[in-house]
Amino acid sequence: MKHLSRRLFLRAVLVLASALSVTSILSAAPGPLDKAYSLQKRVTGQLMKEPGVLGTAIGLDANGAVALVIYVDVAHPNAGNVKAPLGCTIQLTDKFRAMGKPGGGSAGGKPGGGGGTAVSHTAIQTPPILLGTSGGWSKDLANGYCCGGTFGSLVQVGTKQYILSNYHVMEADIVSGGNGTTATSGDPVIQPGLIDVNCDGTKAQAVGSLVKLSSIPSSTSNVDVGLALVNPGMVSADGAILEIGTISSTTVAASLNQAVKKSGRTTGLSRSTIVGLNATISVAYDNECAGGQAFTQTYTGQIVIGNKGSKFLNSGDSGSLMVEDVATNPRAVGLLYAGSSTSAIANPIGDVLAFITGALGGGVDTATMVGVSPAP
Amino acid sequence: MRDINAVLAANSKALMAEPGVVGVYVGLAPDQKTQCLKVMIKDREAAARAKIPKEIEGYRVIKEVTGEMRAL
Repeated sequence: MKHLSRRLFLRAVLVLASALSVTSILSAAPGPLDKAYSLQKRVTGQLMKEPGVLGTAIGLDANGAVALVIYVDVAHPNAGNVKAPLGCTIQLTDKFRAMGKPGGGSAGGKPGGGGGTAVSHTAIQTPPILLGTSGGWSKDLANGYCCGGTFGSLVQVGTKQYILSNYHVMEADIVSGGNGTTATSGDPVIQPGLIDVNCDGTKAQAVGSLVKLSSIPSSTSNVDVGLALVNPGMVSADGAILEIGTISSTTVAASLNQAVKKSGRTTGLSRSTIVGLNATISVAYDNECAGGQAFTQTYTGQIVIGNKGSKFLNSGDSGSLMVEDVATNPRAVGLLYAGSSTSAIANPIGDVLAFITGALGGGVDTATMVGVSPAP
Repeated sequence: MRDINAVLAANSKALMAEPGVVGVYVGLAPDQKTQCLKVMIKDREAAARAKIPKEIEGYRVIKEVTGEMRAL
């Protein structure tokens, strides 16, 4: 079944109290706060036993109303399964730490790397946006959940530029099901994705239009690819990625022990190493947001990356571009789309570009990464 | 010995058919130098039950408990 740990859902919040401003809360009768405290006493003990729950607090929801805030570890594999009782709101957060020396991030097979930065991968950007950011299909809301992922990079076919992400981020709604609609070419895709604007599309901006390719389910395709034609002026034409910058227009094949990095919606800039090649992997997919498991796709020739504790790749990072871990203009290695709390999986970038070329090239043009051409 | 990728190709279907196996790939043994075949298994119980040979055509086969692979 589709859930937070796959693509990161944000459950619609049911707020116990009426919407009160902060000022009015301080001067109002204790009703809403009393109720929130009572709720906190009743549910905290049980909630704290749930894997991934870090704590609870009385706070305010996005509308300024009193609510019980449940803090959930964004990197925990169970993050998507934590249910918010009536009157509560879930706040995804990094683990709370005693504030000592600043530490570097670590992921997968090698220590060191990322570190903390102030760069947001979920906030709405002033256009033209950089990639490696939250994004998704504008109507990806069904069955009480909204979904999204990462707009990871830019590709070019002929004179046109396309946002590259995954099928299951851009166009996975293939049944009318819970929302009476399906993903269709021409639909707006938005930044940030619905999951980062409280499922309210009016708080996001259209940055492209979906080009439905239906890479899966398929007995012949071997990639999880989603594309959107860039809206003029909305995406940085040099293909720059948050915390990575511009990349090379050339690509490189994966190799064992190769150091790689990625920039994505959930875990930001993260690093790891390639631990496996030529993988045959079976991955389960839903057919709409929170629609339940609908089909399984088996891929061959996949890249396996260390993902201990989901630190390199977690729900919502799908669609990130994996590049070699070098300082400037790194070459693309793969398109990230699946994994577990131990392993991340990427389509080889050559397979991705070949698929796009076949779908859009018209026998004339070849898909390439948007980036800096190497010196002759 | 045959190339390890050829060995994997010849055996992946049978390995993937084993209950609980979610993936197979060419990886490195703990010495980080020797190539081996790796079998990804969804949980410890399945790993204990899975009938996976320790070696195929001279290549070591290592079971890994990885959990199921999900679209992220």
